[in-house]
Amino acid sequence: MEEPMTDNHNRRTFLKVAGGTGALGLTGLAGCAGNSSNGDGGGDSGGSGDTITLGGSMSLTGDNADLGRLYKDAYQETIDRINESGGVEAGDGNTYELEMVLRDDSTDASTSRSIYQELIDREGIDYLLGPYSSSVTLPASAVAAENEKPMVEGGGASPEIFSQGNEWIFGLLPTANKYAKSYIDMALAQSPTPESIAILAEDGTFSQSTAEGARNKIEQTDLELVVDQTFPSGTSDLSTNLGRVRDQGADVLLLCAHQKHNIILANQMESQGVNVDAAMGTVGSLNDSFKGEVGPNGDYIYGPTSWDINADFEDPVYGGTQDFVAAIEDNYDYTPDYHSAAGEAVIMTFVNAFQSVDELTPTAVRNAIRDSDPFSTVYGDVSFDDSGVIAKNMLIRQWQPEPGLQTVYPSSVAQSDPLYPMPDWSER
Amino acid sequence: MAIAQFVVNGLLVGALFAAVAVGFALIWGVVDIINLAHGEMVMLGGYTAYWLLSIATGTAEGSVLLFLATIPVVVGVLFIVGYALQRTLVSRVIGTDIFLTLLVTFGISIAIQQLAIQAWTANPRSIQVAFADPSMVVGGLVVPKMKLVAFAGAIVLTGILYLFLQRTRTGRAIRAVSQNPEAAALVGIDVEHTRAVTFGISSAVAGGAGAFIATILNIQPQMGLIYTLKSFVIVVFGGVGSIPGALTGGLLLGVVEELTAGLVSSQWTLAVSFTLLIVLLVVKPKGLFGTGADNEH
Repeated sequence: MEEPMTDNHNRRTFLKVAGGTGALGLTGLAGCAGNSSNGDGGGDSGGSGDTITLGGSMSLTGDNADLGRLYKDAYQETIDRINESGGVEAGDGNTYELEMVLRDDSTDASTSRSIYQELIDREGIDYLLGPYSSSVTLPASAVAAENEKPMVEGGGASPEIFSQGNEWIFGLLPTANKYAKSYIDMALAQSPTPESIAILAEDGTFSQSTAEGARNKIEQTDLELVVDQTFPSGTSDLSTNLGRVRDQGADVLLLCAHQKHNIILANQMESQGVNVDAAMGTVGSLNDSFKGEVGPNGDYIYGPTSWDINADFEDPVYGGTQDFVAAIEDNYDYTPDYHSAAGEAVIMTFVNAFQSVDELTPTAVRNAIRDSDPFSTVYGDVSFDDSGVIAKNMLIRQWQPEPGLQTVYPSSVAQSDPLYPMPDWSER
Repeated sequence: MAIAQFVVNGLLVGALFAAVAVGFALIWGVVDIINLAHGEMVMLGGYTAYWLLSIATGTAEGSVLLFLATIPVVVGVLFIVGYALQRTLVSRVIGTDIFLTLLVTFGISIAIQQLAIQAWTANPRSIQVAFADPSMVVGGLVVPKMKLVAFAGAIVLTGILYLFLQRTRTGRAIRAVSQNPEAAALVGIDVEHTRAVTFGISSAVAGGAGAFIATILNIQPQMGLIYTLKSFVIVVFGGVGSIPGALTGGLLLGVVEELTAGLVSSQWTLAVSFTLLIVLLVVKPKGLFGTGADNEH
């Protein structure tokens, strides 16, 4: 309209409003950041009669409640089965039942820290189950170290957790810097061999760790890094960066980001006419909800996973991976994913250590976990490197038009060969 | 050529920013409220279109015409949402301390976000519009067809709003209330109703823009804040209460962000946008078109 809508706003009011809006905006942003944050872990050791208590905090309410439930159910199912079969025959000659104390931290770091400290101080728990999310696990692991209690976690994959010199934390997820390694190895094993690669990375801690791991890996190969761009997490348009990928003619594309950006990637690769031989999103690209949103645009896209539901690893409690899958499906009415399997392996890591020690103390159990030979669980072989991270690389899966999601790398567990190179958009 | 491509990208997405911002500017000008829940209207518009298409096709996929058929419904639904919000909540704080109005609209935005998460989960979603060939090349520049449709849709929404305000009786009443509510009341205009209609229209246009955003980007419950912030910047660019200003500001912001992303890095887009905002406040505080932000009266 020609006339200004208002004439009752003066500059002072405007600045007042601007300040207020900025403050509220920042509050909102801070709130968003807090959603995926902290926690702390604690544990409880045996000692009370014939029971060993494992304790921790978990995201049982809030945005991550669905994921937290996967860990809780896997913990409980495994513990119940162990107790039903007579308990744990520990290396000290006694047989113990297991008990679990798991409290809700709503994925909040300060809540989680309080829970772990309380579990240690008031309930005398010596063996700690880690919380969910990297930003919660990092401060949680510090509590474990301060109190010299071993913590085993299946919910934090940031390399920062394991770069603090903390000898009391053990993680069952390959760290973020390993996420792209298998993908690059897989691409280099294909024909025609790719010559160039592009990295688009979200500016969050986890994605930056993934990108840094990829850059280090690329340096060890003949691949040329032709695009290396970081974008803000709030970005909802990747078209300019994808234009770079197209113009530079990259053979392989790596998107270090979460599901939101994977959806944008799949759709905008099509609309921007980006034809690469392989494209992978690091987090969320293997979810059914991703494929449901992007439809055929998601075909041929790769993603990493630490576990394959179709695998069949031996396990002393369940028998094998498929028995575990059936147990969760039967008792909890959903299909387990890698969070569930990692949860089972958390319990089995402690059980394996309890069986190995001559004396049931936190230090002895910590040492037994650290020095253990690989042992088999539904999650696969478990052992830890010097920093406490599981010695394991990611598997690579690909959305194939038929029959759907397939494990394609490494060949030892592959269900089918990768469909490489991806067909151009004009040929689909 | 690369710069031309960045400019085209910016104009295509900038029109959507503008369509969102005109409603923000309208509410600010007429109701005298900084509506921090404006971004949530964009989100609700996107979800309304998504669910309409899901009901129609079962998969949130469809032809362009089918998608465009959802827009009038989205606009209608969001008008009702905006009108109801104004009548039930916002009207209670008009004329009070400005921080109270900010808090109320911020509270509304949080409530809508959380309800949306509960109802639809936090998973991002998108509408798939089928094209035989999704992009075209014009003079060496890649132009995605759906972005072109969204650009046209945003311009049409903005244009309809402009004509509505200029040519209709209700539009003139809205302008009268924006200029002097007391005088408008004296000549028989129902000020409260007019303000609620303004809120409804602004929400409707934002919702329409949200539907287009769902086709070219994606939607999720917490997407609103960034659109509210962009609207704020655009209104300052264009001047409070000016629709041509908001349109120009939106296009300008889109181009500036894409040029920054293309020539420097995506990481610098927000920093450059807000630096430009500060510079503009210093050298041209009235905005490019408006007189509101600096207007003493």
